[in-house]
Amino acid sequence: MAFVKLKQGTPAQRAYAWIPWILVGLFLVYPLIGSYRSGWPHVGSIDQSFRISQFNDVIAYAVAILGLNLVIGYSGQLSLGHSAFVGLGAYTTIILVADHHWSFFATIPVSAGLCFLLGLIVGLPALRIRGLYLAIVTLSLAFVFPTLVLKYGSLTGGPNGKKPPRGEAKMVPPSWMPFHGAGRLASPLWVYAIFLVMATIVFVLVRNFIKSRPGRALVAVRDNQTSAAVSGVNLPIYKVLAFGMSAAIGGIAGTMLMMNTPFASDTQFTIQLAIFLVVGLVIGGAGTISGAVPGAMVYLFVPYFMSAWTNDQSGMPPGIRQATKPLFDWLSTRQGKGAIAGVFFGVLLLIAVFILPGGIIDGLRRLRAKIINVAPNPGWLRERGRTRGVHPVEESVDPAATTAGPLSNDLTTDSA
Amino acid sequence: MSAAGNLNEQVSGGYSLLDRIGKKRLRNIAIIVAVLVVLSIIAIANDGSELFFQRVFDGLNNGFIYSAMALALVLIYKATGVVNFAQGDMAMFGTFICYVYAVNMGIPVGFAILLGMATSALGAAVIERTLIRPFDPRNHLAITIVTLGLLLVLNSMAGVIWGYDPRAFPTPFPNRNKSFHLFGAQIDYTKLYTWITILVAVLLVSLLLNKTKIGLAFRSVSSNLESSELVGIHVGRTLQFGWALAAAVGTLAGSLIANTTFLDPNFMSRVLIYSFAAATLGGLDSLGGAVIAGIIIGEVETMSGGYIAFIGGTLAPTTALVVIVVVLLIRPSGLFGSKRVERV
Repeated sequence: MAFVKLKQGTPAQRAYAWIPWILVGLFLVYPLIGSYRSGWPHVGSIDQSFRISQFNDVIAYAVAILGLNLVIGYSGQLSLGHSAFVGLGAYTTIILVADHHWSFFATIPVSAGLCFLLGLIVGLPALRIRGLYLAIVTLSLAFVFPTLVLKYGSLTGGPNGKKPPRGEAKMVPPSWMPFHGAGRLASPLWVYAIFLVMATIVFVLVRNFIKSRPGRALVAVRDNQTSAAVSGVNLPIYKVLAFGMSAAIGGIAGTMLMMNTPFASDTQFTIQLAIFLVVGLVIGGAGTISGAVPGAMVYLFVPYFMSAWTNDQSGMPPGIRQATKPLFDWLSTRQGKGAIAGVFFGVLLLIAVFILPGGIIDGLRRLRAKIINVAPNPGWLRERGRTRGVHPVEESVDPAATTAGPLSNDLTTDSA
Repeated sequence: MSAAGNLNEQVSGGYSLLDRIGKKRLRNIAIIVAVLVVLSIIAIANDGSELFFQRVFDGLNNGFIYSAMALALVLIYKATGVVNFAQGDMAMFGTFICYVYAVNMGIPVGFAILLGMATSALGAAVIERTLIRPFDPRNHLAITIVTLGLLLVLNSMAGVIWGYDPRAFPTPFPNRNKSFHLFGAQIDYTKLYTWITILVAVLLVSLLLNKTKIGLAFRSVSSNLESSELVGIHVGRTLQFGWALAAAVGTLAGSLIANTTFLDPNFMSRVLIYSFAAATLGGLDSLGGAVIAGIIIGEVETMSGGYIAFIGGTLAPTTALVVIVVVLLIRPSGLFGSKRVERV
């Protein structure tokens, strides 16, 4: 039983409902705190600039994972080719910027559109048959993408990678930003500001899509294809649409990666990336919007810390350092020790599938449900509906269904 | 319903082969054969018969390897209902075990491969018991994600243990540097023995599935899980058998191809893509289809890479993708797979 019981509509519950947003806010201002401490508006050290740039990558990959979630989490099809879409978006951006001198922002619709088209084409086989065929198609797409990059070397730079000429096409803060003129290191901070806006737009759009009629149709297809079809859901359109949208969002993520680090190479967008994105998605939480963020953090920070720790364990928490010393001693004798991050990922994935099938987000929700219990209050809901000009729904409808937001899940399970 | 499904499974009822294949399908096959003959004549006219036959045999060589891997994929698909994305890395890991037996311990290569096959079969049985069986067999997404995790763990583990430098894998066959000539093409004895070994392995697998009790149980479970459970078949153990068999076949394929490709943790990933194409083309649930489609894919890869300059060596993997997409669009159940009917 839950320790704390809150009644819906009481001040305590309404304050409590803000907690997720406060967490989001803390996440957002975290990179700014560092630059404030080092004398705002100047961006301090290279180290700090690197951290912010790392955060930017987290946001970009979170967008990529969000796109993948549309296919895996919401339409129940397995896509292993997301790296190809991210890569196509990245290469579209970098080629337009480097060779045709476009601005980064102008490339966003182009790369999203191209990826949408590719997603539609790749999603077509999904129409004919259900199950794992789509996974096979997408996996081979992920395998083929780097070979295509090498084949068209004149366009993509081949094995040398592609980047804009020096001094050109870097994201420079405009004059109205407070940290304009803070030097080269200000660039990541400006990118961070842009990413916040972009990611917010994409996340809100996806959330609204999921809550709209097509989104619900998609979930119905995932849960029971046959009954969805019987209820009038046009299966082919929704499946292909989900795939195309997911690809388009992947393309936007690729553009974002290029905004942060304008360099693309064939080794960046391999089958490994596709699998790691799936790992990030499952660990973060398939079928949850917010799961993309912890998923992306796991994807970026696990290899970062693992590779840091294989060389030097002094940064580890003291207890863990003692316990894992034999492992790292053994690792340091190995030539391929960098691969330990992959082992760790795989084990994390297996643990997630076994213990936390809903990922980190679902785990946190279940934990929260053990501590705090929100009791539904239909009277308050009706009251709120009246003041907001929404026609109140009568008793026949489950009150939980009318509350949108992160709490609705717990509500239904608790009141049931 | 496809009457010619499951080539190597006996269909009772006394139909003749012609009845089973059907006139319409016979016509299709005739058209395909005619097209192939025309293409071959053009190829021979352009570049001479020597090169043509050389490419045919090279394609055959790859094709046999793809057949074996596709066979392993289909075995697990029939057992668990999922595509085992870790199949390539299971085979890679098994090949490394063979390598340890053969090179580090000095066991004769042929015997080391057999021992490695047994070890990987045991390993796969353990994996099935600990990682696959706890899940509801109908929860395909979860099981597939488990195979992805397995892929990551095995691949990175091999990297940590053995490193990423390519190693030469010894061949188990005699006459290793000798070759003979057939239709003007040069064939290494090693290749010939590889073909024979894989053919024997396929034959053994088909005998195992069709003539033994556990094989009967396996076919029963893969065709109807609930009914098999009701008649008293130990489903879990039977599926475990399928995994073990698939791992052994994969290890055999891996250690036969490692001699020509060199051994490193990623050496099977290219092979795996072609085997996916083969398994899809053959129909994911047809063992005979996988073997035939494997050879077709091997030929398609070598021929398109050799004769179409635009494709060359770099775009060859794309042909696998194209084959998969085209097959799924035109004939989703592959050449020999059984069509799926969903009940409402």
